[in-house]
Amino acid sequence: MNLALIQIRRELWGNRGNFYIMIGILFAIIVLASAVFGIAVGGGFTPAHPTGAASSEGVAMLGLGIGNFIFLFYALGLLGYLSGALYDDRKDGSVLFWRSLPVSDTATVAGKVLMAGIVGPLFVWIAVVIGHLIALFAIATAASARGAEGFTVFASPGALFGTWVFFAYALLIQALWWLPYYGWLLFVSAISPRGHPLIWAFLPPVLAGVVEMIAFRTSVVFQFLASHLAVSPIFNGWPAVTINTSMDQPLTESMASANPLYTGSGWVSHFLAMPSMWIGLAIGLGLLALAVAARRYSATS
Amino acid sequence: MNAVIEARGLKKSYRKTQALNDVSLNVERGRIIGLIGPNGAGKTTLLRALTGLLRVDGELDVLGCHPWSERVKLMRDVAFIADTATLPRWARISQVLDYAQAVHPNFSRERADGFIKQTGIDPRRRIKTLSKGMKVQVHLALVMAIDASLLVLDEPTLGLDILFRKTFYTNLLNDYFDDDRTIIVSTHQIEEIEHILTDVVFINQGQILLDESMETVNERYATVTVKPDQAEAARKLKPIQEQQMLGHHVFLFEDAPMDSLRALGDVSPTRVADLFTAKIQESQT
Repeated sequence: MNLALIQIRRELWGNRGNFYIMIGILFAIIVLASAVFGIAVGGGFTPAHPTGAASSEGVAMLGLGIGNFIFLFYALGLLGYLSGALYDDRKDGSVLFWRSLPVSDTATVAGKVLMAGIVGPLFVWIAVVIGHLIALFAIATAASARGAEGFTVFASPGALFGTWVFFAYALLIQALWWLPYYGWLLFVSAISPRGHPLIWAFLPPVLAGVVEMIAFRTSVVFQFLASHLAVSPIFNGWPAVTINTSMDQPLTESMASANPLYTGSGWVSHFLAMPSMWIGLAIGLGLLALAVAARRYSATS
Repeated sequence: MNAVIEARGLKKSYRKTQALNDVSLNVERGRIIGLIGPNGAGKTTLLRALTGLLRVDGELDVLGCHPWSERVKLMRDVAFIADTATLPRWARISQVLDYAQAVHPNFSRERADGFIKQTGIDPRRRIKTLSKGMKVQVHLALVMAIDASLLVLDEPTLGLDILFRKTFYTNLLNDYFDDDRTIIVSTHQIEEIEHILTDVVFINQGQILLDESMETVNERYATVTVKPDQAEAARKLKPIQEQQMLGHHVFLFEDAPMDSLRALGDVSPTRVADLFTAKIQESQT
């Protein structure tokens, strides 16, 4: 446990520039967008017309934008972090220092996976929860200003907590779903000879896909890659944060339905039943084992 | 068992270069070994093999461990400073110490803080803001706080000015070394560490040219300054090196009878640097 904690602290220290800047931007965008979204929704309610009159189309677009933005931000952040995770310390020579301490290569790689699969999502989760609270508070305030009982939403927070617990679950499933990418990026990061490892991360899979298409006239590689990138547990659930905010319901019902993943619950669990999830996990673990092996050789030249 | 390092027939090649060629070495506890060789001689390869950073062929045992397969266990008892600045540039000194404290069972934070205080460097500073000399001081403070049986130093003072170099070795001797510890250090600045060494190992082109204690070196080798009229007589005793200096001939002898040498001229202890040069030249002929 202590080893896991210090490995995570080390990752936070080492990536503080990128990590904290990204988290800062993420929080700023979420806070701002949630506030605007909340006011836009809340402003549509009046005591005379308990059903919302706000432009549902505009609100939905805003929500969709935030959801996609967070998702892309998260994915790109992981891409940058993992591709440099075992490369940067080889480049600056500090791998000799890290490997002169009694820490196994497995623990080092595990620290990076923990960071990408648990700590990163934890920050995303916190950002989204804060965003929800701000949005709901803004809705309630704006609705109250027009005479509606906006704050009733906080009287029964059960649905909200349920949403957050489920969202955490969705993020974990997402981390498992992406394990082959974590494994591949860490492996490339551990062996990339020169230049940025991102080039080496993209080139071989693309070449493998092209060779497969030419040689066998099939596209198993591309299909697997596309299914694991374009389809994801949180990607389909997330935008529902706002799309699902129906404007023709009474305010309290509308607030309860303004939960992000209720519509996505079946979708997320469905991933655990997919064969490609388990194939991906096996590939991911295999690639992580290769990354550990490659790490052993990183001080050899 | 008193052996800290037992190596038999170590071999390592990089493409066409034979970095280690049948290297055998025995190092006992409580010694300070100078590993001396020209650039590309195989020093770094050997030291990295000893610390499990590099896989080599042959038999290798360091403190009862096989370095490559038991690196984690071994590194609890071995401290290492590489030939380049290896502390992570982005880290604060205090973070490096926090990390070492968390992962190293034989690391004393109290000692490390004490050593850092002696350097006068603010522990909140980031490594990248330190001069090269400061980085070496910080790294030395860190490894001296590890209760390790073996300290491996690969050109630790490379690129430092003479003041830093002197301080480095003085601190090492005063604050770290004792009869239970062993230090193996590679360097180009032979003269500066000659007086602290108990043993010397010369390496060139991946092969050990000499592996002796300093006592044996002083017994087996002698430098004799001879006047020109005695030069021919000296040559008959088959010196391993001859140099002309200020009108005198300076000969270096190996296993020559001391009485005969005294009859030729002034006998003085052989400097390691001269012996090194002689051995390198001898190996190339």
